[in-house]
Amino acid sequence: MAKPIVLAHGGQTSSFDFSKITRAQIYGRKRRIPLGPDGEACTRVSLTFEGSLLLRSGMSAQGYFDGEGEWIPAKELVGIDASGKEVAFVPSTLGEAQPLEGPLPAEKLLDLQVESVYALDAIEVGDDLAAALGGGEVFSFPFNYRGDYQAEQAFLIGNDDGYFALVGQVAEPEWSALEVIAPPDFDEEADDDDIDFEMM
Amino acid sequence: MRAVRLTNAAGRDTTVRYEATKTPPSPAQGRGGQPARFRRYLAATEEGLHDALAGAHGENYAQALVDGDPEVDMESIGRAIEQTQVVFLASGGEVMHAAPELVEVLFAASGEERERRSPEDVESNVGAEAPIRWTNRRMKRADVVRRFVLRRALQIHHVDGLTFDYLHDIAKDLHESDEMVLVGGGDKGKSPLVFHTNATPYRAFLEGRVDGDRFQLLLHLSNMELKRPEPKSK
Repeated sequence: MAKPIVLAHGGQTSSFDFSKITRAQIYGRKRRIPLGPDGEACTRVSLTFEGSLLLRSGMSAQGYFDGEGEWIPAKELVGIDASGKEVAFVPSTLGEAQPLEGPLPAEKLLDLQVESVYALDAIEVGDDLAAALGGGEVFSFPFNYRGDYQAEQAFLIGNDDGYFALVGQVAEPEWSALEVIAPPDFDEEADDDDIDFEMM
Repeated sequence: MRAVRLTNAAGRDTTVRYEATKTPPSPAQGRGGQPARFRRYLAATEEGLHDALAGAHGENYAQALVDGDPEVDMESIGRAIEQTQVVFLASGGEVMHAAPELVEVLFAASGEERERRSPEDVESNVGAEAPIRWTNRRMKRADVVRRFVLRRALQIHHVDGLTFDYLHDIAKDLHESDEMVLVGGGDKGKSPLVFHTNATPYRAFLEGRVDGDRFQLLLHLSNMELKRPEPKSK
């Protein structure tokens, strides 16, 4: 089991066990299955573009390679920014007390692009924090499930169903001004990668 | 940016544009100050898969792997895989030369299969023709964030002076009331938004922010309430 989320607020420490929630766990899911001529499910495989090789499950792998084509072991990979500078390693935040920021206005949470939702089970909750969450306040804290080169942001909220943490990256919407007109849609294809609305 | 028709509280509509809000880019992976290239490569040939190895050397073929590396084809392993095409194999393993029939299987939250049916395409209801309509449901921002998981946001932009005023008025109305309005597709605005054929349907809430003459008008998308799954029955 993962270490708990530990949060420091107003001189008190609170800690929570957590479990991920998915849409399928709440509403179920649907799946489209391809059928062969005999009515049995087909297997989806890949064919290399020149048609020479059929890639079945287990035949391919993926990894990082340098400019010379040499495979780079995962332990040698580091995060680098756009200027090629190495980014500091961010350790996991689990089990370590993280400072809680807030109460925050709801807009802060609205700017979060949610990647994961966790249901929290309180191990211990400070009185002040419990009262604030019960009153609908929103808090934020740094979150990193496992050590890597980019921390995420988590928002802590409560409702009638309990406590939750919503985790993701915070977007920064631009202000619209009269003199800045949205460009026309010259290239609809180019926008396809911006938003993924594929079936889940 | 894509075009979209949007109504206001009075039911008047106009065509504006939208784009996804952006987050800061993630750091690239690399070594020695140089970014690495992420690549897919051939890790095994068919002769190196379990069934083939078990057929050739018996179920306990571990020693055969140690002794002779029969799973490694030195001519092929490591070869980069670039573009590929999807191919379907029938249950007997033969390549299908016609598109397969599809069946849609519905699973309950418990994971049990509930229904099988022929899939029906769900057409998009967002774009330059079909307006996104306001509903009568307005909720405080603080209530919306505690009831729904808002996975992503689209930012609405004006295309000229008239649409600037139109969107600024909407943003100001919502900002000053600290509310978000539920919007939707279809004739009455009750349908979830579907951005392209067979895409995930989303409930959508319009939120406005104003700073003097500037505004932000954001369409927040949700396909999930913020609640716990039902406990699994034993």
